[in-house]
Amino acid sequence: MTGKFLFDIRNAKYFRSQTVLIFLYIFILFTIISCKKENQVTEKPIIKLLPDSLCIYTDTILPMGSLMKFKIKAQSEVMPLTNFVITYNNGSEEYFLDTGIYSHNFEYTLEIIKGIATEETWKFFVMNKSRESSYVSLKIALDTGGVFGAIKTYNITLGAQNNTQAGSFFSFSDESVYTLEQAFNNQQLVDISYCYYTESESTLSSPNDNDAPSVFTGTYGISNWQYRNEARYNITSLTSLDFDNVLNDSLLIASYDVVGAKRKGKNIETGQVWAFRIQSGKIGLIEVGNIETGTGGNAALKIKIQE
Amino acid sequence: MISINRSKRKKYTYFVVQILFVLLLYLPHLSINAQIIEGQITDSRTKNKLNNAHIQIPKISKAAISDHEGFFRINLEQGGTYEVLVSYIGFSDTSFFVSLNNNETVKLNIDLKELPVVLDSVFVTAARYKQSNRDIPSRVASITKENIEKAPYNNTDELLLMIPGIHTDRDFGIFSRNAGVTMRGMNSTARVLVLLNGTPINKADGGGINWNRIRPDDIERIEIVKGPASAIYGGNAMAGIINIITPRPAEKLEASVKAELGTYNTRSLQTKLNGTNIKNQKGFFWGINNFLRKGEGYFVNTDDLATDYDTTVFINEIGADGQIGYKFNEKTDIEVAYNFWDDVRGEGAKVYEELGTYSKFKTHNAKIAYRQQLGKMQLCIQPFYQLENIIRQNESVGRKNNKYRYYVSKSDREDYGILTSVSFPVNDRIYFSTGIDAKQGKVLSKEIYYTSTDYTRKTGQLNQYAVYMLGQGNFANNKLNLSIGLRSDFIQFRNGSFAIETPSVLTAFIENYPVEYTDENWNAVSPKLSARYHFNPQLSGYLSYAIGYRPPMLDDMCTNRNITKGFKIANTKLAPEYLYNYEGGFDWNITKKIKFETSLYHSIGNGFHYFVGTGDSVDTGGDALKAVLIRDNIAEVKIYGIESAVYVNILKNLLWNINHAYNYSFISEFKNEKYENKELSGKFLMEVPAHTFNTSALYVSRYLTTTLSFHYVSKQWADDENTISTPAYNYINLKFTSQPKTYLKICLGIQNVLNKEYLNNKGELCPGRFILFDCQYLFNLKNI
Repeated sequence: MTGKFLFDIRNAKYFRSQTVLIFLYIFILFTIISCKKENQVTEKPIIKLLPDSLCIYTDTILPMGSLMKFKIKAQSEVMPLTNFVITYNNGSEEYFLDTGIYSHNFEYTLEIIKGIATEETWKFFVMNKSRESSYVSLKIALDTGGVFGAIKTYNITLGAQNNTQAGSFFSFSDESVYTLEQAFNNQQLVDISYCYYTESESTLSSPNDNDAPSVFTGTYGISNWQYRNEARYNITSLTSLDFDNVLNDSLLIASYDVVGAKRKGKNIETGQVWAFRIQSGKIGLIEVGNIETGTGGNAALKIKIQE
Repeated sequence: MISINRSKRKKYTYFVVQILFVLLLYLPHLSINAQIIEGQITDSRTKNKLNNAHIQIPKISKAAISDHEGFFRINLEQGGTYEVLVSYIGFSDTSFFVSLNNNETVKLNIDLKELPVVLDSVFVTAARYKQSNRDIPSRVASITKENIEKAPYNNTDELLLMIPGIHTDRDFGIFSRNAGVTMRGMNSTARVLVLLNGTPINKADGGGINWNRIRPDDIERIEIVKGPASAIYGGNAMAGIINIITPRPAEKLEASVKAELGTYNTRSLQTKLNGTNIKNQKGFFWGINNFLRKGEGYFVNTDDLATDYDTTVFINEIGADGQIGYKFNEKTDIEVAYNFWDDVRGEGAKVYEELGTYSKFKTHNAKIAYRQQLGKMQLCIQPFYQLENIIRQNESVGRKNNKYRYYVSKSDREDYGILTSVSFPVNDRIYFSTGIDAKQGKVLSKEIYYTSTDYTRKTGQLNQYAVYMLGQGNFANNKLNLSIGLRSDFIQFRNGSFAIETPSVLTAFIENYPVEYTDENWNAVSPKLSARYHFNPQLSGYLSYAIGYRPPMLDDMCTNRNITKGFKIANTKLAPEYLYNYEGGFDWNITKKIKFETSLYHSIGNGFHYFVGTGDSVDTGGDALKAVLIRDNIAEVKIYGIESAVYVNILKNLLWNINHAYNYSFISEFKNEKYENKELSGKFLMEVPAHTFNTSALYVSRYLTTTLSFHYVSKQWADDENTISTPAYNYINLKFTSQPKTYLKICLGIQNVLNKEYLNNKGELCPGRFILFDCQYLFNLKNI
């Protein structure tokens, strides 16, 4: 039988050369396989403010204390949106929100109270995975002819997480102090809480605080809650006298730091005045009274909040 | 004079022919009445003929020696059944029975297997030229191809467990992103210099190497030099040197295909094709090898740490290498080698992206080696180049704040240089070697954030120029080996920069910590003085003093970034670390079958790098402030250690070895006057176990080789403050290797036979029992 076959070992030289070629092909193939380049897609995302009911979508003038509602819609067809930023500028730019997302379509609603700034610029920025970005912005000017709102006053005592006498949670809508079990059964009404942390000691907080699940535990523990309202706090330089002299919400609004407020009011001490905002958007002031420290302790609070 | 007429002459001639015929026919029987056992002795692995093998028949006190072709012949008085014993130095003795009848000749082809324990061998790493390891006045070790094939390990770094005092950290087995290899009581992989065929592969940025890209199948042998060797090789050679030597083709043409299948759906394919046409020490040699492996991996989080974003740690690897060389004569040759590696390794988390969090290493490594003999002088020139592109995609969701974070870091690490050496005998007792080395390491690194606008960029460059000298001599009738070495390194830091484009709230605070990137220079002088004395052929002892150093890493000098402990800022003033080492030991061949070796050492480290707080804290956007940290030369470290090994030939085919190391490594002084109050004096070095113990037994039979090993690692501290520890762990490995035919090799390896569960310092799981089966087909093309 004559003729050449691929592995015809009767033809030794041909067999050797074919074997060498085959292994050479494999070598080149292996090298090529790994040389893949990523496709770079350039696509700018789209972002706009929606002119929905009661939403602000263009420059406007508002009095202090007005509720501002912005509804943002963004989309990116090919590459997902990955970053959403809200900045606020009333002379210097500050970050209100800077968060990671991963979606081709994104909607966000911001409700916030107009502060005392004469002019403030709100900028809504979005970036996609190609690091292409777009933004919309608008200016809100202060209507100096505005009327201030009424306030409500409360004197309460909140217990720390292990206090068996006083509840740790308070609802402004219900005007009630709740124990953990009661709060669990009224999750949507709970606005603020008080606890004692090792790191931050006496702390004003709320169910949506990161660390709340670790101190309010058990069957009714916060990790089992479906609704967790959030309050944010910032300390002020107001005195007890300033607090006592508050008759409307002007100082409440002026004292609240829209950008700098945090989910915890840490290391509170007697005599301090803290500004806060609850989930519904209402703003208030808390004067800290007597504190018994420890996880079984309590804090006496005087509160003035928008009606 | 005899006169014979023609017809009678015919009859006479016919008669003589018949007589001769009869004589020829019966001569073999008449001359000896011989029964003969004859044959040829060869090396079972290389098929080389073995000259001077000893063949004996104890029953009749007869013996023979094989000739240069491996042939032997023994004549017997009579037929019968005889036991034949065959022995050859460095090979397993073999014996068998032969039965033959009277006047019968039995022909044998005997293959001898090389013994795994190599007592005296050629060693190149200690002095950059070939020498017998007997003559090296230091603690050295080598791992041969035979050891590697039978060892129950799947990764190159794990092979080093055969040597006492080497600790390897490979939390996830083959699925690990990388491995850490440390020795002599020190942590940090950057304190061990790793060479590939004599050229350094530690990167200037980070100081470590990627152990995953070095395959055990591609190794001819590994040479290890313990203790500082900066006198010969410069930076990173503080704790020692590991030189990985790949094989040079020896056969005319050989090829193999190997397939593997293992736990977690791990499968691989490897092909090799090598050849040479060298005749009379002249000719070409070449080789091309390929490797491909995939594995689905496993979940590394325990139930306590499990999240909705857990996925398996997977691997996808591809590698190829090629070499070509030409041998001009016995002592002059040139070789060009290229190695390519590309892998993707999942890290166990996935949120949205297809591959989740992963690391990808793509490496190009090229080398030229030129060796020439000029009279008595041997010249070696080795330019080398390495480019490593690393991509790390990170996706995570904060456990507390539920925030999604997605960024990719890309680093291009380029290291290249040239090593030269000239070696020559001064006289018949003294050998001298000298050379000039130059290396440059660069990094261009970017961090691209997608869930914020941050885009960071970092550059840096480290240059090293050095000259070294080494004198070695044998004195006192070859009983005393002396070695004196000295090297001077000039190190430069250049082109440092760090910038953030479009900073977000996460990085805006970095503007408060500007770094002035200045050009920096340092000098490092590294001496080494050592001596070995041979009391007798069985016993020798050595003493050694050496200084080693490690240059600062570019990452510490150039980068400001978040780390687990806080926020670190770059320090361009970071200087090299130095280690002063005193050691001594001895080697004792107690009997022909038992060898013992031990070394005691004391090291003092100066200017060791540690993180300290500057006293500042920054708001990086999280719930709590983060401490601002800087790495500086502020610690003095002391190490007291002892390492020992015993090698025992229990039976003809049963070998046993044990090694143990004990290290007492602590921070003796913490010079923290410049920074906030932090005291680490008296604390133990993290990630340094006090005890490591490894033992293995190897049984070689005709068709099967079995290796069983046990490993123990004692408790280690997981932090500098010694508040968190990783508990001690142990495991057993097993491997069966068989070559039922010359063209077929089969292996079955089981790591962690008892499926013990242990956790790393982050509380993540090891892979548990891992089984790997492989089958290799060897094409015998040399006879075609």
